[in-house]
Amino acid sequence: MKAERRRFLSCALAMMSMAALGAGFDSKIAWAAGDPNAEVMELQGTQESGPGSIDPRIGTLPQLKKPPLSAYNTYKLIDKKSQPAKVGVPSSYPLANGRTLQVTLLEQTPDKRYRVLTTISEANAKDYLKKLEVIAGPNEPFFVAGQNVDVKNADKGALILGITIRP
Amino acid sequence: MSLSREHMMQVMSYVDGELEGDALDKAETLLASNDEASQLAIELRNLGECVRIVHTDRKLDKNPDDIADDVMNELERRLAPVGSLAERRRNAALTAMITGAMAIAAGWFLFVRGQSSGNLNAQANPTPTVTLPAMPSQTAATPTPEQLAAEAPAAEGVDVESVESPSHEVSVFYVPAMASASSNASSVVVWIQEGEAKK
Repeated sequence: MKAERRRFLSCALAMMSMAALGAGFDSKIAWAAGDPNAEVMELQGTQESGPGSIDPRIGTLPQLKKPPLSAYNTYKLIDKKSQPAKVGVPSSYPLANGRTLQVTLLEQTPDKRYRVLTTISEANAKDYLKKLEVIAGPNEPFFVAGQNVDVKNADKGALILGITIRP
Repeated sequence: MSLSREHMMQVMSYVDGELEGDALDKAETLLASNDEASQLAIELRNLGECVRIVHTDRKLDKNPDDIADDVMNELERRLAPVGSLAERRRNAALTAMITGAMAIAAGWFLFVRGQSSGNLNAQANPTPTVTLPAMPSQTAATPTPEQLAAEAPAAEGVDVESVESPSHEVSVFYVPAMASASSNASSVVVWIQEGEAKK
């Protein structure tokens, strides 16, 4: 009986060890279970008189109240899109100013973050953003700012893109 | 005592009640005719009575057989069973295998933790806040990957690996210590100046 218990305990320990090893192995194995989504928010930033406001549909983005995005005190949500992000497959997002944003998930890093390639192209023009490669944590947005909502009319406000990889 | 061995055995058997028939008649005849034999019978009876009295006074709680069984059970319980040599070797090999697996798992854990602890150390001393321009129009030249690496914030936030915009000025802003409920990591704003083509 004692020997059986010892054998059972040994087997349990072995299984736990194997499980720990499996968890430590390449995270791509676990990642294959479900692709993350690339979420793109198009925001219109303007400087209004008074304290300004932030569209509640945007959600909680404290970055908007910190420099340099605090250059605008009013933000409105123009559009919000989300597409599955498959490794090496670009997802295209037509923007309000006529340009096209492409987001490509390159890989998941060993520290569970995402390496993301972003480009912004414009028909019949040089690429506005030829290449932006970032490593972003899950659910941690990065921003591409500086464009105008109307490329030829800066008075219509700035176009700020918030890009988030959501697992 | 001049009683013969045969008469003594006869008296003892009589006292013990083992005789019957002719043997009993002979024993009774002996006791009636021989004083020594009758005296011996009396003494043996007294002795037997004495033993019975003592035994009754010192009666044990348990039957001696039960006590013996209890002792044997206790011995079996206390002494660990020893397996065969093959079984012990098998157990030793299994133990060695498990120990090895646990050592590998621990090594892997320490390796992964060592990698992430470096990042955590970086997070404990995050890059100082980038001095931001008063107006977004103040831009800098496209930073090199080395500059970007030097400005890299905590590992759990966002890092810029590279940025290229051939025809526009680019600035990279790190926005440290977000106060959102879900994250306190740094974030990044890449500012690409509209309409200002590079010379």
